[in-house]
Amino acid sequence: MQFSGHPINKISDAIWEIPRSGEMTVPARFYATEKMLPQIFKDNALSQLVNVAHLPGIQKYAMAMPDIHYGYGFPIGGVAAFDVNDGIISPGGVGYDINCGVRFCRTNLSHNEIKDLIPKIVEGFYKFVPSGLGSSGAIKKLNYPEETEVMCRGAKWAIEQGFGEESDLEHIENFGCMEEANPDTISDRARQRGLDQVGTLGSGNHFLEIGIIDKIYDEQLARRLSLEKEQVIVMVHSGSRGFGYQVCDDFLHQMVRDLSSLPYKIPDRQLACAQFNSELGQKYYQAMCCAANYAWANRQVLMTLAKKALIKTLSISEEELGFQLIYDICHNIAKIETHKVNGKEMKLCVHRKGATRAFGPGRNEISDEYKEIGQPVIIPGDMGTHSYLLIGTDTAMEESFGSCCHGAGRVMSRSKAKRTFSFQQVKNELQKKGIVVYSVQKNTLVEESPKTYKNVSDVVEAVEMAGLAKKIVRTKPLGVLKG
Amino acid sequence: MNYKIIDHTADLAVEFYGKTIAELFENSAVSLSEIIYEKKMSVSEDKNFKLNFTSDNIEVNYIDFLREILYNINQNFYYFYKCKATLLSETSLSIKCWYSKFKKDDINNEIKAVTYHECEIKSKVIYGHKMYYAKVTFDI
Repeated sequence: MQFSGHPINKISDAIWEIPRSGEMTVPARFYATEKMLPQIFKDNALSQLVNVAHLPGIQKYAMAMPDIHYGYGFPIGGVAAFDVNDGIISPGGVGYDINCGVRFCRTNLSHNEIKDLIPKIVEGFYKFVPSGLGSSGAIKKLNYPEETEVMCRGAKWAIEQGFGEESDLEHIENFGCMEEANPDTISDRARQRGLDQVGTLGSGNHFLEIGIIDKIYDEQLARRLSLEKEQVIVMVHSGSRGFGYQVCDDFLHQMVRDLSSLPYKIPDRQLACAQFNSELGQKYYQAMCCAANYAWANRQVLMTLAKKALIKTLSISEEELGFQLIYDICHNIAKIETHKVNGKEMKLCVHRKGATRAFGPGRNEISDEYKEIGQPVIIPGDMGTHSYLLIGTDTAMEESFGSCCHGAGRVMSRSKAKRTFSFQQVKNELQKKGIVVYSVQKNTLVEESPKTYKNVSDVVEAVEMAGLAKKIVRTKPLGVLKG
Repeated sequence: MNYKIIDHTADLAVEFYGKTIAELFENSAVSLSEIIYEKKMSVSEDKNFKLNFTSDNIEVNYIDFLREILYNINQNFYYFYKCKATLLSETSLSIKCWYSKFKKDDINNEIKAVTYHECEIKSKVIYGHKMYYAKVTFDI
């Protein structure tokens, strides 16, 4: 089998490899079942993966998860780990929406209690949660010292402002804060863009969803997480908003201008990078940490607004609602982690772009509550089908630097979606499935039509077949607020 | 035709056109405004500012110019209706941009960022005329 002149070798039923050739530093590997291959070959995502395999200091493989699709620079679904001593850090390998991520929350409610109230609940979400393009105004506009606190303290800052509980931190990747954040690395433009966007959903694929658990795969783990069939859950998907976009843009610009001074060639300017240990590399990493913290504060506020909306709409007490964060994971980030490479422990800068961490049991990075079982992994599907909650595995630690896919993965362009579907058509189809959707921008709903995504169940099947994560429960959407 | 939207799986790819490189820069800023606002806006102001770019590479200057245009659309809600570019050398140019200020609600399509991904400025013959074009991928 070949792609663009590169041979593709089958490693197992869910792992494929493009061997090292030419200037590639390492081979490229991607995770998929055989039936997913024709779709993956349709766009040029594998060429982007091969480009990543050229980067200096990359370890083991340039990897892509089963939701791989064409992006810019790195493919979406890409994972690449670089030696911190002689490897690089790349803003394009993290993406513009730094720490875009998703959180999964349980409630005490069951489907029967809310099934006739979904339109009212989605309307409540809309009233409480600023959404859509450039949305703002969830909380009063920050001043610079307050914004500095957000950048340095992440979710903890939000909790101190009354958004959530201290115990939420145990259920957030990195405990909701990257300590290396340095506000001195942030431009005035990024600061300006971030002043009024904490607690806003934004547009694109971001969402706030209420759903139910419709299938349980692992009774024991589900019980351990206090999850059961027909239980109502809430998911929030958002990121670092304009603040993060500006951080990425600022540093990419500097690194592109520095490209000619690097001792190696980069196959695409969007892969512009700096040595991790260089002054510019460190500055970007510290700025990225500020944006990651901003995103955690944002999702912490969004989750609390959703909780308040439910209490108000359903006229119930906080105790009756029993709202509890299960986990919050990042999709676009670079993290310093220790992994085994050829039997030796190495400190690596792991880039995940449209991919999530999926740490197995025992890792120190996981809170005590989950250390024994591994880290929960959330894989949202499109707004018309299912989403999944899984758990990280030892295999992921050995194979993929503890990484897994982040969602279903797009198959149709937004422009083609707009040519193919109408707003009413998408809304009606969702209604037929019993899903109430509210979209601030009509374009967003059409662009995010369920038919524009891969079947998330196929993606999850590939992940499970490869052993990167293990299914716990499946959820079904009932109501969705889109930006 | 000043631009054409190209299918891109996850984001937005656009091909911009101009009879000269200067016109390519000019058309790109105005076209980007039209894409984001989803229509030609009727303008009532005559405000302008000047941008200067220098780098080893025309494509880098081009993307950096679009980054400035996009920042001003997203942050200040400017709609650019006219630009005048002057090429000072192969690696340096100056551009005057005329804009009118609108409101956030007038924007219909969010574009988060301009990427450098595979951007090249090239020429081809379209309907018998030599045209310069650049394909740009935007993050949305």
